[in-house]
Amino acid sequence: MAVATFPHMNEYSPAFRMILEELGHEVIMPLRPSKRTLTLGSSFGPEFACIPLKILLGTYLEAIEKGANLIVTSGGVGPCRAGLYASMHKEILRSLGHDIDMVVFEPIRHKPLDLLKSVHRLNVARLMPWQLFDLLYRAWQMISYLDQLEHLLHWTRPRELKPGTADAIYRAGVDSLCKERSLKGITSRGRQAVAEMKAIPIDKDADPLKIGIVGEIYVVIEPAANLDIERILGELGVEVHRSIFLTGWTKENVVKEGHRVKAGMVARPYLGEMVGGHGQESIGHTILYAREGLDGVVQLAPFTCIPEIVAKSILPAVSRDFDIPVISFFLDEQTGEAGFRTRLEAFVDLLARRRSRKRQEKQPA
Amino acid sequence: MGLRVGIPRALWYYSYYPFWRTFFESLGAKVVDSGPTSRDTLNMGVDETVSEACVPIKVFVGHVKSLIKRWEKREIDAIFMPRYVNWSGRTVYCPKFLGLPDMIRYSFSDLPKLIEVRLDARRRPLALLRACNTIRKELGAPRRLLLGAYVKALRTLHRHNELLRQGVSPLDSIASTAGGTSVNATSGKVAGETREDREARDNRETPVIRLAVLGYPYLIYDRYVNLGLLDKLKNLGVEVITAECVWPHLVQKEASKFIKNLFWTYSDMVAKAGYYFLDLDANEAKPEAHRIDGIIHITAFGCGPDAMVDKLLELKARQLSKPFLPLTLDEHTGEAGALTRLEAFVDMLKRRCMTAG
Ligand code: SF4
Ligand code: SF4
Repeated sequence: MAVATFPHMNEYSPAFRMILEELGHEVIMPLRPSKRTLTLGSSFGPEFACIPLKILLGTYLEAIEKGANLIVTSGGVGPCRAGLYASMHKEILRSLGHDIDMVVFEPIRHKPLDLLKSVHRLNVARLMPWQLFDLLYRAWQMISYLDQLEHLLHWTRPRELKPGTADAIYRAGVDSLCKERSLKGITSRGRQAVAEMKAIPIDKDADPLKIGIVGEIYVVIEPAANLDIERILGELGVEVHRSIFLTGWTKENVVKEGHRVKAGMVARPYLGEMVGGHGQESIGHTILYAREGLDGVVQLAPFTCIPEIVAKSILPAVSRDFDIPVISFFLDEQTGEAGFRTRLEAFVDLLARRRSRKRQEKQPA
Repeated sequence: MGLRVGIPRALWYYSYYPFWRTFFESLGAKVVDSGPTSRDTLNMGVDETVSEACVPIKVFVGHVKSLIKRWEKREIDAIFMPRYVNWSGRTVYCPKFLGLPDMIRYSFSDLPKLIEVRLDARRRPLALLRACNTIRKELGAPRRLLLGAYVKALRTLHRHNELLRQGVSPLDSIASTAGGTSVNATSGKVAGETREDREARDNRETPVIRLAVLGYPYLIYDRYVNLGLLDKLKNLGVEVITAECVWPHLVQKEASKFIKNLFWTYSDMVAKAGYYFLDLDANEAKPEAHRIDGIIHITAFGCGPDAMVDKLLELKARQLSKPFLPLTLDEHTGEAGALTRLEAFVDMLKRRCMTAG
């Protein structure tokens, strides 16, 4: 029997597990990427591969140790390496003597037929189409609630009266939500968790700094890949706006093109070409954030990430034209937490000073 | 007087310069190429580019900067800055090529006129001709010249590719396709065997080593960036063959059986040529001159696509137990270190050959 596993992405694993289990697979849950994951990934992966490739490889190897023999993953969009990850991983794993199977989901817009084929291959429980639909709908609901909770977490962290409350309630909410399988259970748990998040006592007059996070999808979404930047910023009293959530991304990427295209559109005058990955969006979101009045933007990217390097060389112009400070981090396995934190703190300081100066200028005494 | 157009000697230069030179000149413009890469060019590039960028991009920016300086001295009027997206209809260029004009525009505050066109052969028929027409308008040349110039440029490009296939280095080919005089093809050989080479070989004791040197044209033909690697190999008595010598037909046919298309034009070429060379022994039909003893893969530090290509080649080479040497170049690569590694590799091959033969 196939023992399936999949890439680790933030808190989404339970939703993927639900899908795969109900399709009739035994599932090995991917571990949250650790130092060991990264070490595994970088010792067997290409030296200059981007960090998502290495983390994924490490995650797979850890799952294989536990007996996984089927990897379910997604391909990338646009002319970037992510589209080659799967075949690359397969080659590397085979050279290490692991004969695993791989099912790769490509965006539906590109090859609808392949998607159906992949679903069919995975569907060993032979679910009927409506059952499949129901299953995906439930998973979707779960992911939507997860995203909603995380949104709230970002908003509440800098405002809560007692530090740590939001994180604790978020954790409890996520855990209870992920135990549910039925639609009713998911919605009621989800609603309840959202209500609890909203009930956290906050400082109503708080006016936290607002920072947007743009960049490559995996390092933006996976806390283990970005040294938990959102928590660091939250603890520094910053309200974090994240440009990519899975629900947003999937809806726009797999089904239709939405906000992402909007971000692409506003980026046009600066970068007139899809450069793959999220290069264009990084520029677009920076512009959108500036218009929304955020105080600053952090660009997160894997070291050697091609589209983000293109974006980085254009961002200074955007930053100047729209008067919004931007700081870039290119992450690799050597990025140390201490240095990262220091640079972030300095950036937050700068934004705070900038804001108070601006406000003084506005109301001359 | 026609417009004086500067063309940076970097990236696509080695593959397409003959085309553009012919095209511009046929329309009455004057073409100025930025010359060989030097320490100065590289330093300027490093200063003006984001530090994460790969060396070739830094080199390109350096060449642009040197053209800007010539513009300030009123030696040129414009810089040609095409957006290479897709030329063959099949693969696209590395995303950094795609963003190049934007990167340049936002890296320099004071720029001469940029002649920008988007080259994308995918969507519309005759896309390249249309792009050329855009350029013609910018130059203010009469419409009736367009077709003639385009055809002539294509012919030159064809001739250029032909010479590359014979093993002439791009720079020599560019020199020889310039005046229309046909320079003796063998004089500038980098690859393949000339008669003198063969004689020299017959007189030598040790067996000749033939190596495939694979990498992007802007790395393996830029003498400054690669520290004169090809010459060094020659001095070590190695015969060199490059991807251009077997590209495109041969490789296309042979290798697509083994490997899925890579997205990026140059990476696709390198990976497939690599597979072609490696799989050679299995296929009797291939010419003797394409049989190799090992592969040297030249990659740029920080190159995204190469991380994939290099791993693919390494895995394949290991599987077929062919010697494989990856050499990574960056702006700090020391000449001594690289040479030592080369020598060690070649020595190893020679010993291998002796014991085998
Ligand atoms: S977008 Fe960046 S991280 Fe993603 S595949 Fe491309 S280079 Fe790698
Ligand atoms: S292919 Fe590699 S070396 Fe060439 S421009 Fe792209 S990243 Fe740089």
